[in-house]
Amino acid sequence: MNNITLGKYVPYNSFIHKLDPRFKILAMILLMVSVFLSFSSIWMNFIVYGVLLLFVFILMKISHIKISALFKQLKMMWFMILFLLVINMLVPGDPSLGFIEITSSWKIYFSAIYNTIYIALRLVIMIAVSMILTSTTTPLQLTGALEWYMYPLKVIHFPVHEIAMTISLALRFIPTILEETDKIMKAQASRGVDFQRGKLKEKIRAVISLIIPLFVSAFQRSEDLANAMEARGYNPQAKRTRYRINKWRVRDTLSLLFMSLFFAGLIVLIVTKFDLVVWVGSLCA
Amino acid sequence: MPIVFSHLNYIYSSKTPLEFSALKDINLEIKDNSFTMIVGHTGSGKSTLVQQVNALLIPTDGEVNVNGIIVDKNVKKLKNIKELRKGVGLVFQFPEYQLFEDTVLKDVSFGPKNFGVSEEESIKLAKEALSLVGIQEDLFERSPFELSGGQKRRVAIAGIIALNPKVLILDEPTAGLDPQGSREMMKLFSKIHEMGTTIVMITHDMDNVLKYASDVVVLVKGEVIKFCKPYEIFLDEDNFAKLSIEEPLVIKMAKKLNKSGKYHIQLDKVKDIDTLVEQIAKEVSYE
Repeated sequence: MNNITLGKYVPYNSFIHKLDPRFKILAMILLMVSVFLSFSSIWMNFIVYGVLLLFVFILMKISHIKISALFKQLKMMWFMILFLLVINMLVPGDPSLGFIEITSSWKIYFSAIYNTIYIALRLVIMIAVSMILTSTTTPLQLTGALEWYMYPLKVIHFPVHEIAMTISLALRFIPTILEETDKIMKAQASRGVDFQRGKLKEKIRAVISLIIPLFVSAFQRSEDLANAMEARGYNPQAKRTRYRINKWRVRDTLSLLFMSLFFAGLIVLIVTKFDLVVWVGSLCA
Repeated sequence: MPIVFSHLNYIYSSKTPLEFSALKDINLEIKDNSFTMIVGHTGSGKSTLVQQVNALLIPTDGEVNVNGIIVDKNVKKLKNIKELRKGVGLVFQFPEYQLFEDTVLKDVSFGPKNFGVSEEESIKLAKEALSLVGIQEDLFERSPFELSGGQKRRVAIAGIIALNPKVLILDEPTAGLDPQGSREMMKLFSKIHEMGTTIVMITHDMDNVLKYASDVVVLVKGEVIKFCKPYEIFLDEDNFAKLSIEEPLVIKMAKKLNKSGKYHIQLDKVKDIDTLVEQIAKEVSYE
């Protein structure tokens, strides 16, 4: 249970850690969007993915995230990538990119392979980007930033504060509930429950013996928490001040400038249908 | 069943920055049919130690030998583990949270059924265990979630007792109970012990240690500092704070009486008020 490391905040004092969480959320969105952009040719796509991968790896290095941690997360993705490859193989693709004819009615299109590689690369980049965000930003900072982004919605009486509070409570209780799961699993294991193997019926019983106590304790916990908050006079409508105030600094402005230029550059490449391979070719010619 | 720990080490989150060595070179022999109590500060490794005995945690190094079944880092044979867990019943701290069935009787018979006991037989075992822990028959068909805290605790403990374990391990079974409930609980364990079960109990209550234990293990920072008879841990007064030991009143009184010079009470005979009075009476009658 302690192996779940995705998104766990790791307290370092790196440049990325010190950036404003509002900027980090924006940067994450921009990077995720750029992952889904499509360029003038296949080679151009691969070049951009390469640049993005390099960029993300540099960010991971700066924020002290081990590359091995990323691969641990990707382990679960192998099956999905394989599945996508098979599906893509069976679906007719774009014949203009070439294909291998296996039988007269079944051809493997190169476009299918390209598509699968795209998806795999996108997954890697997206997981890496979200890992960078969550391991350099505390849950509290994240919800604070989300609340700031939702602030305009207050005009239409959207319960911004309540939602931010709910999110931060949910995040706060993830480790607690994991610990609880571990405890209950051990207690049931000493009553002879086998969580790893057994027939389907036994497995269902095993899961029930875990889920019910987990729900009972979660409800119990939430009631205790609500009582504790009420006892201290918590009022969601009250205007509240913050202990930590996000301060926008020069480094945030510079980073924002850099991110915007980077993203704008990608857009320009799309609009002008720029192709590096063709361009280099024309230079040499 | 005798339990033998030899050169046992346990490290949490091994090979990560959070690495924490919880148990260091444990060598212990818990004798068959003993009532062993484990004492020590919070975080001294008490719970970690007992979880090795039924292979919920696997030793990083060294081994535990439970009546011939060896738990070490190579343990993979699941059949053996099931056999082990049938013989060693472990009751966790605040065991109430493990209840999940819709009736008390079903919940208690859940354990035996998992170990392959037939439906009728496990109901029979459950009824026996419930009557042993003092749950009235009219509660058998109630939902375990409707019971009071103390009753829930009893039902949860019955869930382990119904397995008829040869070794019963209890992690602070009286925590959070009122004095009355706590006393009754201890009487229950003493009864189970007399029926021929080896009991290992983690506790902070020194009165119980003195009264019931046959041996005491003192853990400090993952190391066994003392393994001795109960009264012996109360001899070395300088270490009480370090070992998280509070001297029982009867021992304090016996020591004061001895200091006065008029009495020569044998500390190893003092278990509770009755035995203390007995010892004093013996001395008085000599005069």
